[in-house]
Amino acid sequence: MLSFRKIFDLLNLKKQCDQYQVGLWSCPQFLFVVMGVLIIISIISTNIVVRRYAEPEISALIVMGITAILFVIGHAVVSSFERIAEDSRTKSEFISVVSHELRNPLTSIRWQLDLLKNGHFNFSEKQCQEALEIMDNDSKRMNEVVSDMLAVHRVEEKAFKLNPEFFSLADLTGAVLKNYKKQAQKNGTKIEVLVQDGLPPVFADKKKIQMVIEHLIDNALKYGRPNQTVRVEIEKTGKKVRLSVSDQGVGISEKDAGKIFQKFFRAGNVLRHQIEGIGLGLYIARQIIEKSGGQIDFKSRENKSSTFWFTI
Amino acid sequence: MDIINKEKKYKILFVEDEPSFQEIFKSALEKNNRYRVIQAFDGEEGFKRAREEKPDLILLDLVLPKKSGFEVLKDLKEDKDLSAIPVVVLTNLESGGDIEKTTSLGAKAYLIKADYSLDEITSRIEKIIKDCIPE
Repeated sequence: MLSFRKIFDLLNLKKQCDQYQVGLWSCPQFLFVVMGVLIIISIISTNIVVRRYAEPEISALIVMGITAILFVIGHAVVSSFERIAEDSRTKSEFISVVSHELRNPLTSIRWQLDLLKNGHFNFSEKQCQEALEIMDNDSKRMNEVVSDMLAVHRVEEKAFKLNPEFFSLADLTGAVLKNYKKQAQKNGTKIEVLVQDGLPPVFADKKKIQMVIEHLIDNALKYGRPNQTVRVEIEKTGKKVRLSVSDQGVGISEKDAGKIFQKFFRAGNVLRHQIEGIGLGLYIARQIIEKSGGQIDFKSRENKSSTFWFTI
Repeated sequence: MDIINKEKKYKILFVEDEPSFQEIFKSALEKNNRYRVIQAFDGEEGFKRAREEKPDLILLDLVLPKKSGFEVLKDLKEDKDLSAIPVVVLTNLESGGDIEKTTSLGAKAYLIKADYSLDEITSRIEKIIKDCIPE
């Protein structure tokens, strides 16, 4: 049975709309109530006008005007439903991608452990070492997935805070690149760094900018071809500093170009090239750069190259 | 009665892009000398190897480079020389309609890798071989 509290909650439009996390004018319940009120007003006013003036032209005009308003609101209701449906589709897709990305390393660890535990194949010391290294990488992969999810949650919070300070973007990039040396060597990638002389320091949240640089380098290594050259350029542009990362990789098709910074987006051609990741990196990067007052964008040729850049 | 012919060595094609899974499976299935595992690392190679080798069973991942597992499965079932080969989907993908989709395309079974230990998964595969391959 419905308790009073439940009935009250059902009538509480703000609470109903909050659950969808959309604005009032995108909330179906609110729009339905507005529509209902308008219908009542239209019936009453038509009635009054017809009684008072009995002029069919005026009443027809009023009816037409209100019909037009109802039509616009009806359209808003439909499109808000579409948005909610799209969100729910994105969410279930996201759950499926995340579980795949967590299960793969998890299975790998489980099966490697089975091999070691059962002493299946009289592992040599070298084979044991390899198995342990694979498990080590797998656990890192799982942690990255979780970190990305938490980072998204954080940048979306209203209380997301940046702690800006003055620092050298070139020094920070140099430090970041040191961590990618091994990974680059592994797939034969050469990383070239070009830094313009006399760059001014930038004023931004150093840790957050480091995250952005890491995402861009990570992507360049993931989506690039083996034995490619990744080029990192830092230069002055107006009052800001611009950092760009270019790779020679799968590129981005025109069809996908508009969606690349969206949440949970993994380009259609990425599924074909089977790349790890859950499609949050560029979304996080854009949130950080835009909230720091910078710009982020890219240019790309499919199957050739991509250049991602930001200014700060 | 054990209907697996002890003399015959069954050929299993494993289409999987993750090298560590490939190696683990090869070692686990070949240890009793009853199976020979043929490896393919992407969808296109998987279909090509199926044509060349005519394996007794195909183990197919779904998220693959070049051609997805769904496409490979469809191509296999449309090819009259290959359509009779039983295909087992072996993946970690599990969204809404995936299981129904592969079953309607003709897959024999849908196994989630993470649900099984190595011993469990190899005995599942052995059972499927017993059930669907005539002596």
